Amino acid sequence: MKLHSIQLSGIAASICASALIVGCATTPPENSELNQAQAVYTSASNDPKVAQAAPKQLEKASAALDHSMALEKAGEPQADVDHYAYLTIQQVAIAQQLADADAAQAYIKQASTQRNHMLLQASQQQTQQAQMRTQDANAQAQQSQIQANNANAQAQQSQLQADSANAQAQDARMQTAAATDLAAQSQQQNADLQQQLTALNAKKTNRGMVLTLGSVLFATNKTAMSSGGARSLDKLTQFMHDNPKRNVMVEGYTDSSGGTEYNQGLSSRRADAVQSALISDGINPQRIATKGYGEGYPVASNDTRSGRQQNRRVEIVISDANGDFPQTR
Amino acid sequence: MKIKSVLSGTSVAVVMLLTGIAINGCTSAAPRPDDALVRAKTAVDQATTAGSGQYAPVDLNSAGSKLQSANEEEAKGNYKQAKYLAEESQVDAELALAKTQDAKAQEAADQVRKGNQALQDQVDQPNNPPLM
Repeated sequence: MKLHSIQLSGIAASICASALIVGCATTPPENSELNQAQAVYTSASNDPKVAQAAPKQLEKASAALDHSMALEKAGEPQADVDHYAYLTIQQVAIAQQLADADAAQAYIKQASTQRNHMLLQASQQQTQQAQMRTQDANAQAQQSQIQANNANAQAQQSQLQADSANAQAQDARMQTAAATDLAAQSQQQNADLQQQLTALNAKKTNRGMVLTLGSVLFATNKTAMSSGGARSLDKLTQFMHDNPKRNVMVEGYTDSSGGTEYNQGLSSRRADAVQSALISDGINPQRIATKGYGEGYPVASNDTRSGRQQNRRVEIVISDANGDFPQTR
Repeated sequence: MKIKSVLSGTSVAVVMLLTGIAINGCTSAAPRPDDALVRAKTAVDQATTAGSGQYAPVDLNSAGSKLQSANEEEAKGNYKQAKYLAEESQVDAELALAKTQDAKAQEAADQVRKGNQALQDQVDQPNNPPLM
């Protein structure tokens, strides 16, 4: 009896234990929570970014996974295994979120550096633009300076030309003045000459200026000069001193009284007498030519006394300025 | 026979002991999970404050409802169930917080990316009006 009761107890205990084992330790189905936990944990733990960003979360996930696996291996209830598998999955998800956030933070940090670089770049661009504008302005200023220099050079050249023109004008004025002076002088000389010739009582003829020394100079048949004739010669002498380039031709004439040969000789002697008087007054003999024309070329009638007196004369032909006689008898 | 009987009595005692252990393992024999509940509530509060209601509403709701269930189970004396629910509520809340922080970081990164793009455009086309 006692043995029986013991056996019954043993059987009952066995049944009870078996029932418990069946209730607690069912085989996990495919794609269970634990399988999923293992998969996500393996994936995350192999990701260095996650490992670096969330080591604590990975550690918790690992512990929960170990726990879940141990429970499953021990045949513990599915709910327990699933619970720790769930914790594993959530910890892995947290770790991944942290890794993502870390990546975003890293991007922000890198982008800030990039932003600073770009700001620097933009600033440099603005500086370069400003420098380029400055260079442009400088170039324009240089060009303006060059133009100004050119203008100055042109102005200087113009000034030189103007100076030169002024000098030329001055020269021209001086030349004009000189010419004017010369002309004035020449006019003065001409005037002087004219005045002298007038004083000599010279007359303009086709043989040039002719000065007639009248009969008053000579008596009939005489060669000696009267005092009035001598004064006339004084004026001629002065004239020849003043006009050293002018020569004279002394021509003697007579009236028709007496023989022709005699009159010829008389006229020559009268011309010579005038020549001698001029020479004695210091005139170069080479400037004085003489010629006797006798009773030829009368200027008045020999029939009257006054006419014959007019024919007795000495004509002095004054040369041109070169000392030549354009026309002789 | 007598010896055998004694042995049988011993084996029965062993079986009974093992059975008792097994029964204890299956049913709730855990202590009150007050610490786990506190940690879960702290995590849920933290996630809520961080704005997880906007950025991770599903996870935050899950955490909140599990916390509520955990409190209910503890009140019923189902301590193990309450502990599990509290632990799950905590990781759900922590995940909600992590998602929130990540979303905020991504938003900030987007902002920086857009700003840099605009700046890059400025650098590439210097004739545009300056950003600075």
